[in-house]
Amino acid sequence: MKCDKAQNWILLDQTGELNGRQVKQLRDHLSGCAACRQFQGEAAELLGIKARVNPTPDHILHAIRLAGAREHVREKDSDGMLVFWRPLAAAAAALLLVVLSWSMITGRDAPPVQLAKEWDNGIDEKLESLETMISSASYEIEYEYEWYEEDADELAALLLYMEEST
Amino acid sequence: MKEQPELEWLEQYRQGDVQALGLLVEHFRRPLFGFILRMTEGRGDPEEVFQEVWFRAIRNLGKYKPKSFLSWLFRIAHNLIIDRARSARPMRSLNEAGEDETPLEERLPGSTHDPAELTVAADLGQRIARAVGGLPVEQREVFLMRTEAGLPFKEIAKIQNISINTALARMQYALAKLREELKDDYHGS
Repeated sequence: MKCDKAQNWILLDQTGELNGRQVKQLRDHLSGCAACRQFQGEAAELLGIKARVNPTPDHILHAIRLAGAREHVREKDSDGMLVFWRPLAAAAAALLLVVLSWSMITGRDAPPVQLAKEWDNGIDEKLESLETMISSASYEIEYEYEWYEEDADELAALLLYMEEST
Repeated sequence: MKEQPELEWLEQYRQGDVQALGLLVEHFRRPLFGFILRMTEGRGDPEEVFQEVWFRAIRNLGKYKPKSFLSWLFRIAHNLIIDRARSARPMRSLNEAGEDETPLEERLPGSTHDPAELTVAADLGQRIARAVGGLPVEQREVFLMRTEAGLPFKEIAKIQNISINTALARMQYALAKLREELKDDYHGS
């Protein structure tokens, strides 16, 4: 075994990530390699270093507990919303399923689709009658305008005649 | 105490017991805060990061699959520290006073109680902290995940999204640099 590999295995051995066969191979190597034994000692010493940590301040603990409590409340609220919407979503899905199945089995539109189409036709008829009303109204306006135009012409001719006669 | 009390506390918290969350926070405080403390030195408030890690954990608890809770917390901390580093906050040096007017290096004294030993240990603690702080971020993170939490390299590799061989190589580089930086402490006395 090369020393590079052995030194990686020393690190893995310290965290219990070697199997029994690998541990034995490592021990065999260490018994004959002073450099790797030194590495093992120094690594153990350096990896034993830990930062000194003070107890968590009360205000931090309090803030974390508060966040935990809030999260519980939020989860309950969202669960409530799910309970409310779930039956509606299920009913919509069931209706969709019925409509699609009807169409597939009979080859015709399902009753709700037919209703929607009838409603569509009714709208078309109403739109057509509205269009007729608008066009007849605009015709009448145009006719009356022409009539006024004719009256204005007659009035202008009369004024001209009066001027000429005086 | 049971082998994995955190799973029980997690379940209790899921059932609505907020006190169990406090137990979880305390249980993982030392490794998690130790990691954050050394990863964020000079880059903002470690307590704020610690708090935010837990906020994220609480929000995403539904996504947690019962493996190693500590690894999961470290993954969140890793992502959060990257996010904060990207937001390009100004760096502070180790001996510069923070918001609480306490130089960061003074937060790392030794563990003995004898005044003379305390001074020596505090000095060594500062040198170690400085040496670790001088490592490139990726190497420092591997080193701290291993030392503060004892995470296996397989987990470290997953968190950093690298191969296990790359994680091992980063650790080798980190150890080589620390040995060089701290050689007087090894051979001096």
